[in-house]
Amino acid sequence: MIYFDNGATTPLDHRVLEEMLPYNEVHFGNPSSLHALGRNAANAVETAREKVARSIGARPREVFFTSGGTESDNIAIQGVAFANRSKGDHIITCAIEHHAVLNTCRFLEMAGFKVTYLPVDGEGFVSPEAVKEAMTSQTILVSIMAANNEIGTIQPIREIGKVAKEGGALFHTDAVQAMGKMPLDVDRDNIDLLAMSAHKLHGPKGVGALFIKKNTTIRPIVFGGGQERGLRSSTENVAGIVGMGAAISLVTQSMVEDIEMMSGLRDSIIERALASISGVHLNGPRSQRLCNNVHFRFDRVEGESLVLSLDKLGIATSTGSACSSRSIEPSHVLRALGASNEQCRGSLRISLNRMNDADEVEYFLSVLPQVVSDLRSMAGG
Amino acid sequence: MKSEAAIPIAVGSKAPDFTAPGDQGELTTLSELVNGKSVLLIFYPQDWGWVCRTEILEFQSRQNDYEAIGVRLVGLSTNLVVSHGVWSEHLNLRFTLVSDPPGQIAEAYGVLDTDEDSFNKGRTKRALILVDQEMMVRFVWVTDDPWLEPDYDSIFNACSEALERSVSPKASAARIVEGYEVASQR
Repeated sequence: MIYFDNGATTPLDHRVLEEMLPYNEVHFGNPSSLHALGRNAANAVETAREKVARSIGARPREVFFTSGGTESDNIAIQGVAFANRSKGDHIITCAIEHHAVLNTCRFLEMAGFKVTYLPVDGEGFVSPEAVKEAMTSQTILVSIMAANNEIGTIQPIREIGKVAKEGGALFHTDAVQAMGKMPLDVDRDNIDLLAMSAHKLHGPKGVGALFIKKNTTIRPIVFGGGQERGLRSSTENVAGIVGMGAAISLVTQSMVEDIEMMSGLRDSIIERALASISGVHLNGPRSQRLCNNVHFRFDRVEGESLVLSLDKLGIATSTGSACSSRSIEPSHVLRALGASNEQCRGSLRISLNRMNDADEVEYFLSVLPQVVSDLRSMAGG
Repeated sequence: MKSEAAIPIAVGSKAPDFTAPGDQGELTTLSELVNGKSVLLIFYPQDWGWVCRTEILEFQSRQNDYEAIGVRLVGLSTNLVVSHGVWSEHLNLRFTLVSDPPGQIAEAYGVLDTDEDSFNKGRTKRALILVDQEMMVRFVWVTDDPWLEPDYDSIFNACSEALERSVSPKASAARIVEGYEVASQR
């Protein structure tokens, strides 16, 4: 199987699994326990915290483990909003954010907050000037993703973070897709909060982390035993956290070479597919694009059948985001780019990982034109 | 901007015949399916959607009940055979899904979504149309809301009663199923 759906999830690195295994069975202690088993587990969590912090230029005390990217986004946005309500009630985000951000913002609207959903341009970019114009004296939070999960657009987060800071607001970025695929430094990039997930970078599912800059005013959204310094109660997923630390270390070590390799494969797919197939369009930009993301729109092709036909040929791809694959509604990202409902139906996302190679790309490009042509005939086109 | 809404086929009308590929690519003809049986055409917007999945599996769980009153189940959407085939296998379906990519069958029955504002435009609406052995439409249920599921008990009872009634096209009318939309009368 050729796996080109790494935007949905990535295969677990066997080295990560090996580090995790003892924490499922031998070192099973609860990090809150005082005995040796508990202390051992607590040490493992702190070691992982150091690894995660190092990868984004943060201090370990600024990293909080969660159950994944969605929970990290929820804590960041709800936690900042409810803790800073006396300062203001306005939040700025954009139309192509992940639903973990969009639906949290919609919930906050129901709770009385005001949310500005900034539009994006035809390639999915949010303009820092638009953020600046939308800022008011009531703006407490700006939340713009580092890179889009469907079309790969890398946002100018450093500039947006600067605008937020100048306007007295906090800046949160959903970096779930960006982690390990572009350099991120929370100080340099003016980031106050950053959400990440382990399973997008060859770690396990069910674990993520949230960076929260020191002295940020935030409150928990889940209450209980006070783990993670009171911000995220619940007994720690020790094996998962160990896996996240291991995965993030491995990805960071080889990131520069991996980005170069994946960018080469990405550009090869984009250029050759555009040249060899009629009625195919690239969604998202050519530059400032995630190194592992390709997103096409095919005229007169049903996206689901395209994915299923490729699957039969041993290639795993996606119609868009994994979350939307079983939704009948068109992608909110493509709609925000100006695509019609019908145009959204012929989408194909190819998302690479660092273990993909040129032979896999060759095979994919060799079968794609025929698959598209067969589906168009079948549809009567 | 709304284009003129399609009007669903009326109870008492002659059912338009069709031949189209089933989920294994086999040609499926309505007039052959109704040989000695009635057919419930289950139009749904899209393979893989969770409402569609729930609906299709609910009908499958009631397949024996429908067979007991002489009704064969057939699903229809604009998805291609490729999608139907994998979805049918995934759900272990025991009835055929017909592929109608241009939406011609849906159009003939007045259940194609043509609303410019609908994200479902060009796909079939969620609709249930009962065709009897004489190729006569005996019951119609249709909704413009793709998230709305039919009330399965009421639909079964309405189909059962529609088939029990004497065949008198002029006199027959769509049964009002409580709380649900019923086909317009021509």
